[in-house]
Amino acid sequence: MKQVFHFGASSPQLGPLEERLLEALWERGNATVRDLVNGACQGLAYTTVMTTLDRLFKKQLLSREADGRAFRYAPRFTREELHRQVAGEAFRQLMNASSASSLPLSYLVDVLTERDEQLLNHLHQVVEAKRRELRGGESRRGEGPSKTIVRDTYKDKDLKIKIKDKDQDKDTA
Amino acid sequence: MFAARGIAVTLSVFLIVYCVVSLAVCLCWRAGQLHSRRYPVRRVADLLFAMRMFPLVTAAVITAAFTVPSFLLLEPRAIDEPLGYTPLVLGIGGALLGILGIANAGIALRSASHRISRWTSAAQPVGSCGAVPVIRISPVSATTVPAMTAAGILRPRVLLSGAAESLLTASELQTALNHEVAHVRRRDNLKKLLLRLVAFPGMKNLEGTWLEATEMAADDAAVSNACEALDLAEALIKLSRLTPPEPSAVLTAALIHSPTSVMNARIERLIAWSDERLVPLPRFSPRYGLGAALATVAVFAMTYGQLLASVHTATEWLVR
Repeated sequence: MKQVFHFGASSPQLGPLEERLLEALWERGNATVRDLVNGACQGLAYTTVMTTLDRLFKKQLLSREADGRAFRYAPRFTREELHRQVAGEAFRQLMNASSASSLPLSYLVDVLTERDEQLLNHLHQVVEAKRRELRGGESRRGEGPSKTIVRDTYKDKDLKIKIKDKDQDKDTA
Repeated sequence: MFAARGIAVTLSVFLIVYCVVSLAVCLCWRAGQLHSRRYPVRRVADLLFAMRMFPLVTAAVITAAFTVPSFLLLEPRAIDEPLGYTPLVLGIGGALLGILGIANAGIALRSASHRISRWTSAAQPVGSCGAVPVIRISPVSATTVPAMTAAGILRPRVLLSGAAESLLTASELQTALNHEVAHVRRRDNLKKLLLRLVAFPGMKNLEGTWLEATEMAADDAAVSNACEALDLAEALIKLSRLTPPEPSAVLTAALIHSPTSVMNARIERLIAWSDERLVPLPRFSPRYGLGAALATVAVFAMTYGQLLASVHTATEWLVR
């Protein structure tokens, strides 16, 4: 697999057409060139699909067997297996790229922190949107009676926080 | 020699039953874990805890109710039978299992107690939530404190940091405190201590799922409508942003301590709140439980002598 996934600047990962054909094969399980040209890859030339499938086969990502006068191709790995291989290879190359092994790890932590922050921002926006939606729904309903809610039996209905001066401070603020 | 043989046999049976039932629980969990998502989280949490404690309870019951009486009643005291190699090794294994479990729980208890006393060294009681005291904690000499956590087993209390107090609005604070109170009412810290007693390889996944389910069950117990669910989601988001990340201690139930994926799942679950989650779980009448218990006692009373003889035969085989 190493020769397949080059993460250096010289060689990119799978091309868009290769990815598209792999996706189509994951969906179908296996297919001939004709199946793909007539199905998921309509609009692509027969020879283009055939050449790309052959390239994927040489990269050891597909297996093939004779089906009449053509080949029937099938993916050698599931989507998850391939992603795991790609990610593992990327991490290994990242770790080997620097003599100080803690440096790439710190980049990784930075990226993860950034992603967490983005995710939290996204979740915050979803909460705000949901809140607006709820307020809109309530205002449309007007002053109607509130919905009766059955609570879990172990939950105390009178559970009220009595923090000294806390609520007053917040309310006035 | 009679006493030594009795202790060795008892510990051997305990070890064998404990390991066999633990393995069975492990296999059952692996086979059935995908189905756990279909049921209410509170029920899942209770079931997983019961599964996790099942090996200890089964081993203890079989040992106390059958092995010990069968040995005392049916083993001839006059015969000076030497202690075999197998019961000796198994007995030592059983004793080590007990000692390691108790030591594991003791270390966790000591560590939690030490950490909590450090956090609460300059604490102020600020009120109560339900019947649970709420204590405001603040960092002392560069020690970071958790934003909010339920701590203590015998005298549970909710520890609240100044950062959380200033960051959250009144409604967010209340739902977050309700979450911690739910942990206290479900005695989650005591359950965590019991889990330390029954450590067994291969159970991490089950315990992780139990922990996740307890957090979600506490979320469900803390809110009663979509607005409160959003308040709690917002509280989780705000406290997740606190840097440095809050410390967590064993045998405590911190509001923010789960892995990021679980935190996200909790927040998304709260955003997608549905009133259907408030429908109480169907409860079985105590009569059914009483009936089952009486039937079990009756069956055992009728067959107890025969069972003791069978157990004694089995232990004899073990000794030889």
